[in-house]
Amino acid sequence: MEREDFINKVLSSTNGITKVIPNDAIFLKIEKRIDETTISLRTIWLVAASIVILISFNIMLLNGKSNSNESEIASLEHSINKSNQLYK
Amino acid sequence: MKSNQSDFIAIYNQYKVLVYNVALHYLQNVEDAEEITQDVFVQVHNSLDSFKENSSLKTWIYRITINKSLDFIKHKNSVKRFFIFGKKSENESELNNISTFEHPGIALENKENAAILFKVINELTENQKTAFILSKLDGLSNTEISEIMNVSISSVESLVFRAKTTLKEKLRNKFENYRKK
Repeated sequence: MEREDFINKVLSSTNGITKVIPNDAIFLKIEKRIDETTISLRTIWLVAASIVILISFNIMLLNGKSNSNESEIASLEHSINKSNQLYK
Repeated sequence: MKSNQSDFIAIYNQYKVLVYNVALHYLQNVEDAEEITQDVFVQVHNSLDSFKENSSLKTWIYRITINKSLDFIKHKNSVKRFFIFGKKSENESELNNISTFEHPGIALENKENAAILFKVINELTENQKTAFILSKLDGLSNTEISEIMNVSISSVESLVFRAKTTLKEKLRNKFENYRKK
């Protein structure tokens, strides 16, 4: 009997449990955490974009260099061809 | 759904009490419940665009809260296990549990008994614990619980029944221990 009373008392201890309203400061903390994640995402994108730009500049530079080399060789060939003409 | 700021504020205002109280039921600690509330809403904010509306927003938020709370408990237990080498006596750990028990929703006169109840609730399996908390403390219907837990209604009934049986059994043992003291 005593045992059953104890069990019932413990089991009914949560009867009438009330809803607790969270502290208003929680929302400010959530906003701060969201801002932090947004900033870090922005940073990641900025870094990624800079890398892409850097790579494309390098590719453009390399292409430009090889083109100018080709044109230099072509003009040299042209001048050699002209000066080495034995028969007119 | 667009995750703009006004949507998020509306969702926070609608569900903050739900999230905070479910976390309190699982953790029985104000600070920990506040941390879970933050984690849940940061995830809600970040995943709102990918929310597929297969379930209701309420069900989705319940699931996030339950998962975060269970993960938090697992992490806390693993840290405890790492730092505590010697096992505490049952009396010592029980006293510790009662003194750290913190649930502002419970009336002061019931605090001691509620601490005993939550101690045995914490020993239930995850599914039994979730079913019991949602049913008895949050007052949800079996249909709502089955949707949140993604199980059938009969499974929920069985989980709640087994949880109650286990709780009674554990409380019976506790009573014998109290009598021996």
